[in-house]
Amino acid sequence: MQKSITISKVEGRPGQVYYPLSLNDVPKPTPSANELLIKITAAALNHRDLFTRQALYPAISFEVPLLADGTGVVVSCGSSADKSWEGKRVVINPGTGWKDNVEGPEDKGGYKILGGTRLYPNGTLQEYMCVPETEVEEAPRHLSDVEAAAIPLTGLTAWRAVMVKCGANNLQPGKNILITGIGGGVALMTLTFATATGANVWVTSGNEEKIQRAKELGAKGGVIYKEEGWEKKLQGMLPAENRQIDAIVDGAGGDIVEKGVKLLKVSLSTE
Amino acid sequence: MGGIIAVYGMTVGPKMPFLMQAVLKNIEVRGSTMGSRKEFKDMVDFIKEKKATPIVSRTVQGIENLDGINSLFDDMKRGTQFGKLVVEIAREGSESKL
Repeated sequence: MQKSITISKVEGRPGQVYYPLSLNDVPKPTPSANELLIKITAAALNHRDLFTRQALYPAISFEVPLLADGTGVVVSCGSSADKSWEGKRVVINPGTGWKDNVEGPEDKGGYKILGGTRLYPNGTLQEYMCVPETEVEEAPRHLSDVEAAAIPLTGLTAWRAVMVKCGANNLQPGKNILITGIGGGVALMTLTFATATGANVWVTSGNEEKIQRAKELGAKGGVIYKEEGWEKKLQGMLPAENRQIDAIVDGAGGDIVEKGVKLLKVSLSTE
Repeated sequence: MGGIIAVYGMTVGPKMPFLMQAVLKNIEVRGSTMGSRKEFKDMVDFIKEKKATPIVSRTVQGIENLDGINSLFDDMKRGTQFGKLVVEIAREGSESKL
């Protein structure tokens, strides 16, 4: 047997209800032919997990373990799985239905994420988990288990938003990338990736403390979005060599196009 | 190509305006959600190559620690976290860290 955590059903309307956590004793899973049995060492939360507990997420299950992000050690392999996985520390791809098409998921049913739903009925908040061998990557050796578990879903979302959607020409030394709402998981992963490309990263936040922390992590500067005219203040911070923002990564919507019109580059210069 | 706005969520509300001024500046708004299996590998490889480290806000220990796990959800509800909220379930994997 093993422990797993699901939500348990209580009455209440979506947005008002808050499903309690339930610690369950369930059979330890057995890997099928192409699967790996992973002893989970760490699992991480995403916003979708809070929405699940608030009944604001589709296809909620009271039987499927919560959470999409996890890392662990392969303890055994299914009959046809590559035995060299055994003993390796892995991170788990948080979803399925999307192989490599840059336009979007190949699966007609769309992308399905691990954790607490009937659509991809498995999750990382349990002691052992079976995952197809094609759905793991070896965990980065410089990271602890806790850090490795922090990567998958926000890392993937940030990767596509900044590295794929913002364009390689905008991710170079001298380019200016703006990340709004720093503090959230995706925004911080975006900061990590964008600074690693050598681009100048600028941030917005609701409070000064988060801006300071972002600067410690490599951001060049930031402004408080609650202040009127923050875009002018930001423009004043941009270096003389490039006084325009090349790309914005945003998770808020609202008036970002209106702000973007003032901040973003006017036309192509050298690229 | 003009400037790009990559939008991965809309916490303010499910709609936002597009402006004629944005048309005149060749601005592109690009929706983005999750990513493919290939992008997952590309992302993990990049983290390995750059030795990048994700930001962890707070960790609790133990799968039986429901109070601790609930407190991580509370951080998220209040929006007080700065980085990821992680449950450490076992220590087994720690030896494989260099």
